[in-house]
Amino acid sequence: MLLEILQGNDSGGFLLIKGIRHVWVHLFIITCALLFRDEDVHVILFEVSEQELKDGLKEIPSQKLHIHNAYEDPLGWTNSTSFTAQHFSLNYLTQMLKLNPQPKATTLVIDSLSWILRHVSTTNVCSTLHQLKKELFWVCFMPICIRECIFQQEHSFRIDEDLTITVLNKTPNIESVPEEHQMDPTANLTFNLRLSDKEREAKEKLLLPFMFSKDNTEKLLLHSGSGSGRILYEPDASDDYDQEDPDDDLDV
Amino acid sequence: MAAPVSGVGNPGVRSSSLNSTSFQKKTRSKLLSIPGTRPSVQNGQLLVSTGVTSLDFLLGGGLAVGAVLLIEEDYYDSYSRMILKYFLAEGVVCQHELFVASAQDSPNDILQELPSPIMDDVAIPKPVEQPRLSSEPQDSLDTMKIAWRYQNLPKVQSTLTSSSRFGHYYDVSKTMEAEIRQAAKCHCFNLPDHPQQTTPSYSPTLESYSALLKSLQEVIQKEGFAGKSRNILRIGLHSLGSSLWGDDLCCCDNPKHTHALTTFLYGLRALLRSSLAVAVVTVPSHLIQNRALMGRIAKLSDTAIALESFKGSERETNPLYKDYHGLLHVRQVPHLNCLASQFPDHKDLAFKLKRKQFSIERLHLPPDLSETVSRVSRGEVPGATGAASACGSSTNKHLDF
Amino acid sequence: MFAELNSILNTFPDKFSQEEFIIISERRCDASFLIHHFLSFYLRARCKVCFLGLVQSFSHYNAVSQRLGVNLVQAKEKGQLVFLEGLQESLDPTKGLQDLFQFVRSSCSGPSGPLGCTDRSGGPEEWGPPVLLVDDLGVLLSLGVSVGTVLDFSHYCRATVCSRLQGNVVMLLHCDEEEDDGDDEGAEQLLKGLTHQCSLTLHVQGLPTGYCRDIHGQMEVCWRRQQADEQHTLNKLFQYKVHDKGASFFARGTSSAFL
Repeated sequence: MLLEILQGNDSGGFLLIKGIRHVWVHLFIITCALLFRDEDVHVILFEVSEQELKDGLKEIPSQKLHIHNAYEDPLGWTNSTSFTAQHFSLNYLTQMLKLNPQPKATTLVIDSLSWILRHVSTTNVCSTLHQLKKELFWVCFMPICIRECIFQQEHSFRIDEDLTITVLNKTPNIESVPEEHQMDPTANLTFNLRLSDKEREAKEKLLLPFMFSKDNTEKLLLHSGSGSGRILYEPDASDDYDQEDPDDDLDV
Repeated sequence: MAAPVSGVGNPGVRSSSLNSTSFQKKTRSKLLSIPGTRPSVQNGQLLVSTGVTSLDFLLGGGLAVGAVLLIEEDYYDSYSRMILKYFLAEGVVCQHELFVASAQDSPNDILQELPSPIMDDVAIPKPVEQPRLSSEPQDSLDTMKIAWRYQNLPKVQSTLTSSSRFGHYYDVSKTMEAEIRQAAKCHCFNLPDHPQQTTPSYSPTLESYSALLKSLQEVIQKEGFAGKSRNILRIGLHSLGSSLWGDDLCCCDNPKHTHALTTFLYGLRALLRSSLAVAVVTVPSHLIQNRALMGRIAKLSDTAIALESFKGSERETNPLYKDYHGLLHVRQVPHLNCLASQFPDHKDLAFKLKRKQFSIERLHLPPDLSETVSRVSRGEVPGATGAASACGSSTNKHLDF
Repeated sequence: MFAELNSILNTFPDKFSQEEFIIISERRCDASFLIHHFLSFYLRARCKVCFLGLVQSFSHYNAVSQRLGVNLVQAKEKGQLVFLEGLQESLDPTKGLQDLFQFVRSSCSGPSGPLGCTDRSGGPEEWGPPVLLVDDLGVLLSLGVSVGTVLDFSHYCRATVCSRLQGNVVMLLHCDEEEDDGDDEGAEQLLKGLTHQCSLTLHVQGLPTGYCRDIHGQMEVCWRRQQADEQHTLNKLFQYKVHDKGASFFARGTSSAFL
């Protein structure tokens, strides 16, 4: 998936990233799109300040980057920014993005979807996004699922700290946690707990006397009644045995 | 020391009649001389007694003026109501003003049930007399012969008491005489007397609570508890949150007025913090389904305790609990003017109601005085039949050979 | 101000990081001692402090701060501290928290604002970056404010105080009972949203095994900040005990009462 983006032979669509907010995730996505595709990138910021984003993009030419800052004033409390939650509608967005004559070569990054979902109804968001999908290549970023939002195409994947590893790791499974190193409890012992193949074979062959197996039962059934149960006991010198009350030692 | 030092209940130190003014002399208050109050040892906060001596001790000396004590009711509201009555009775004895609100019975009914104070028991041992008490001849009489190793250990006190007396004792079998009761100035708030408009469902507060808060505010303003008054207003609010207050907290999982009670408690706290008043609120918490809500209610009061009576529960017959009437849980300890709140050293607490005292004790196993004796001692008995006098007669009776 | 906590968090009154958004969550215990710590810490660090005391009265905070060696009355007179006493102001949160935010904004970016406008001679004293302290957000929930509105409020506080004014925000939130309490519409949801916004969380809990006289609880410190060279979330767990004039923190099981 990511390789496709990097090579520029993808068909566009939604990209939904689930995860906890880390600035580097954004930077990574935007860097990808900026560097490897010669496209306009519109970023709507709700949860990261413009400064924070720009700090991370120091080395990257950002002429193609358009930042719509909704971080400072997302609800219009202070009348200081142009983009507020109410602006998240099809009309306004198309107007905003249509600046480029070639609409197909535009990417929109939203940080984050969960923020919009708190203020705009889920159905509205879904339909708006779906309408816009026809014209744009999309990257959505959604950090915490406060509410569930179902998209037709959902690509989730895990991004590790090292960016290169992530590009190679194409598994769409969010659960693909890097293999945990299983500790072997028998590793450093002063005695041997392992069995060689030969020993194991011998062990499996071994027939324990009171095991209930076919052979055993047959043997038992055949030889039944061969002897009667008896207790043989020889008292030694220190035994104090009272003939009259043999049960003296019992608490009855 | 193993020797009994306390002179409480010793007939020698009783003074015949003690009203609250001579009681006041002993306290070290220099700021305010309001009868029935004393400053806290820990943070200088002005304290009043709840009427239950061991509860006072548990709360760090008493109930701070300006604070709210929340009592989560037991199932039948018998013990929580008892504490409320103790609290009000203590107010009557200390000549504080009272404010009683209830939606269930008329506040006057609650006032009529107040327990009678044991007036001659109010004495505090005078410091002059104390050394005489613990002097040698008496001391030697009372001391137990005990191995020297244990002699110097502090005496285990299971009942929570502080060294100095504060508050009074009451006899629950008798109700307070009418003339004592009528001497106290009392404001009542009976919900049925207040006409109700239907509250619009979107409003965060309930009509009944805002009426109660308004009437409290009026009393505090009119009687000057917010400033010039030299008296304490004791507020007792019975069974807040029950459906009789028009609240649906207890009836359904998702109540309409989720924030009504918490908003009221916040308003109450705001009111109390700026006036010489102290409140005890009981809440039928076992009826409130929403635990998170109950947590918030407890958080908005300064001290929260919960009573769990054994009545009707299977614990009633459990031998571990046979000495007690119920368990007392401390939900919240007050944080007032201090960083570290006074934690009780122990949170396994149980209460029992005696005729003259509601006592809160550390929960511990009762001494094993039961008939069943361990095998070892039975084995010894046959050999020692001649010198059986050493053994208790109860063990002998049990022998069957 | 607790010296031990300072070294745990690696911040000191003469050297502390800015643009921090700190969340203190408490569960089955009382974490207000941390609020007192941060209050005295930032006052000593000569920051301009805006304190929203929604739970207790001013005299309470003043009494405790005096034990910690800071005088709130003086700080108020000097203009260093702006104190909102929630119990005195008749808050009407049903109208939204916009007014409360405007109060925060005006008091944080007031005349003696962030460093820069230097007027050292004679004029009013200059204070460092603004700091907003809130004790506690849970009260707003109790008063009927929705979780979303509180999150909006905290977002605005962060955008204004942390990002624009390069100050710090410390908020306390009381959570009830257990984490998996099913009751999603409440403090848990708010905590989740706040944890997402913040740069440092201090989760304070009562001991899972119950009450202990010598250990009052445990505190989990989670950094989720972007370090200069590396990103990491680092967690550390401490147990604590609150004293009369401070608190001591120690690793698990190393309470002085047992060693």
